[in-house]
Amino acid sequence: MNETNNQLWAKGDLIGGRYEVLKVMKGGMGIVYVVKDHNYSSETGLPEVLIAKCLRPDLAVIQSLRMRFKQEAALWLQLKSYRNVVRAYYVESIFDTPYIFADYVEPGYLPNTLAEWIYRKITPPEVALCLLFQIIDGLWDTSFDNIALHGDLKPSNILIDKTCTVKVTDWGLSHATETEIEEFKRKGPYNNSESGSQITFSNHGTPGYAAPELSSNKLQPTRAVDIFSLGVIFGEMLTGRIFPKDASIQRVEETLRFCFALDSETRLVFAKIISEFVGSDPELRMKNYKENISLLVQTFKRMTGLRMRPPRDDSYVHDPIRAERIASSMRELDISVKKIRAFGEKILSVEYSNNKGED
Amino acid sequence: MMRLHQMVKLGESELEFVAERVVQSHNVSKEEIYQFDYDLIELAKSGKVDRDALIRLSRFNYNLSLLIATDKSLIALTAFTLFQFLGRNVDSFEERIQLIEESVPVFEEEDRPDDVMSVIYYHTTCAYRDLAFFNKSSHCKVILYGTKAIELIEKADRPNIEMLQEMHYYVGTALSEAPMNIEKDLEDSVYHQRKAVEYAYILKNDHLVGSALNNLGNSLRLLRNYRRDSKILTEAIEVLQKALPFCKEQKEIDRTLGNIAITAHPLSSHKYETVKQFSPELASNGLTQVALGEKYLKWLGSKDKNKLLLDRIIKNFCDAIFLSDEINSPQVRARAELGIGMVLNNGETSAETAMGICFFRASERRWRALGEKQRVAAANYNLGHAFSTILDYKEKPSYLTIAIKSFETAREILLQLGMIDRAYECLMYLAGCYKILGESGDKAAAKKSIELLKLAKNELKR
Repeated sequence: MNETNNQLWAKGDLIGGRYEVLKVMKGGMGIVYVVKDHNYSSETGLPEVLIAKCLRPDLAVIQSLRMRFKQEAALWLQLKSYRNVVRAYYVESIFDTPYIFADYVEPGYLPNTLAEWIYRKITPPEVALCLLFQIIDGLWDTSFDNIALHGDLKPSNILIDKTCTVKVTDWGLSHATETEIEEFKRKGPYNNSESGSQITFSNHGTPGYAAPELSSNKLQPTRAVDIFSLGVIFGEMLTGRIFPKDASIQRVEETLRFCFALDSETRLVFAKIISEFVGSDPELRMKNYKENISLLVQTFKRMTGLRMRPPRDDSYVHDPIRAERIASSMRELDISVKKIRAFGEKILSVEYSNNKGED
Repeated sequence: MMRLHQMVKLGESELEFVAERVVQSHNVSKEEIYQFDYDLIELAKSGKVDRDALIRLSRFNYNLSLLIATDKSLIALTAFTLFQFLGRNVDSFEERIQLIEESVPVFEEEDRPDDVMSVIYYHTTCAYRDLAFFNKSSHCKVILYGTKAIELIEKADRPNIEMLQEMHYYVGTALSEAPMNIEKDLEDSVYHQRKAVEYAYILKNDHLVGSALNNLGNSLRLLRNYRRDSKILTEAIEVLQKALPFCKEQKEIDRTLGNIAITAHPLSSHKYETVKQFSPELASNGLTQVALGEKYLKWLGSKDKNKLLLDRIIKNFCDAIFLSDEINSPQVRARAELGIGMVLNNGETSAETAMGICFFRASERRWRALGEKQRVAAANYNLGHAFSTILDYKEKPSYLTIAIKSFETAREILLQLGMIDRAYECLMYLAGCYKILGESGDKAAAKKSIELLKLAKNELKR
């Protein structure tokens, strides 16, 4: 194994002799570098400053995680360009570590993640709805691109650019639980890294935001998983608290009483919708989804006078350069498009059958 | 080269022209630029020339040194002179930092005497301190250069106490305000603030003693976040109370009372009452933050895009919102939301305007519940503007109708309150909205627009 494979880059380093690190952000599973491309040319149509996301060095040695990172990065690459989605441009392996390169959402005067907006308490109901509709737009747009679901919606995966436009990020990237990682480390990473680990890493989402069906093996996850997360996020924007699964209308409504001067009609609408979204039955979540969204649209119009734009037909921008970059990234990943599609359709069912096998 | 006294009256563009001609004709030597720099400083000392002229001439000399570009030392010297002439003016913060970053590393390489370097570090710290007011990341530079300055000033046989006091004060403040600070930083901050207090007493300057005690109290309060020891808070309150007699102006008294309130309320189970007890007028730092944000917003002008100032404004408003919950003050939150809305409404995209509208509505909702009519009018006035400028052609007529409603609401309240000037403004905007509707074929709207303009004319006469 190459020594540099296991490296954590610092500000000022040049990754692969090309990408200058401007900023480093560490997450649970991955590391995000804000980089400046020294081979930048305006003719390519790609931005000069990008984010380069890779697995944490201690996890990058795990063969199955690396494989999964690559496959899921390929899924993200398949997404077209949408207003409310962070664009991924290409995947490049540098010192045997795959990096996915995507749009950098620069902070404006206000913070650039929803997590920070919530922390700073700048999400009054009117603003919360405006942000929620944009997240929904992003999810709606991607539903045409063979992406079954996001699976890990949470405030830190929702970026807000300097024009206050929401950009949903981290499409389908690996999320293993701490227990799984610990188990892997206990058994010894290097013994398994090349031969392929026997341990599987499933997508359980982030605790608090993840739908209950993600951690049970009984149900096949659907878009209802994202609706659950939407409910939790909306509740958190309004109250600063994370509602647990199956929170009753009464309980949500009581908490919403802390929202100053919110009229009872609006409070009841919000309580009903949050309560239905965070219900543990995915079918029920899906059943009233459309009506609930139109109810929110009406409420938003009543509160602000603004009309929520319906998902736009013109949001797809044809981009031949990007298409070529994606194709070459696919070659780089050595995964055929067919395989990726199959993976997209089967990804969770395969994991769940694996889990069942272990049981 | 022309003589200095001949050049005093030349403008910026004329000086640029002269600089280019001088360089093209190879009619300038390094020695002449050094001499020019020296003469400029003498001229400044004489006080015969105004500051703008000094800046112009100094920038001319700096540009000349750049155009020759053979001598780092010369560039550093002229850059530093220009840096000093620019002064601590809000418009020049960024330029000053560029100049200082160009010159200080050269001076450090040249191994200049300690007394010279201490002055250079002192000025550098001050420049970063000014910038840190808008940009938190500059705190690190304040700490770096301030510490160097302190070390060199203390080495002198007769240390300059004024400079020393100022440096300790700035470093102490930067350590407590820097993002991601750790317990050790706050301990150091307390040390520097204690020093700043000590020197301020020696200088017998009440204002400095008051400020240093205030900041010492704040550093102690922040240190308590790391050490769950209520004795630290008790000491912080004692220190802040000591500061009170040294505060001469009302705003200083308010600030100190606000700090006492914020420090004291974790000790009390009745947070808001504690805040009120200490600071009934200002009630909290939250109100200070929102007031500062509003003040800076006025500096901005209508379409100004001073990024540093906007960052600072938003920061003030966000801090105010954060504190508003702590002190249970919907007024502070509503004012800050209105402020954020105004900044966003100043943006260039519809998305920003839409978000601005959401903030205005949130603010309006709170003011209505609080029964603050004048503020409701202000929110509606801003909503009128936002809805009349939002760039959505499909929704234009309906948004204009909402703009009209908002201006009408604002005007009605303003007339009730006897604020005739602002009510007149609303009338003019109303006429404008109807005019735009009229231009798109709505004859009734066009007629209404003319009627309103007539009414406005009559109101103006009155």
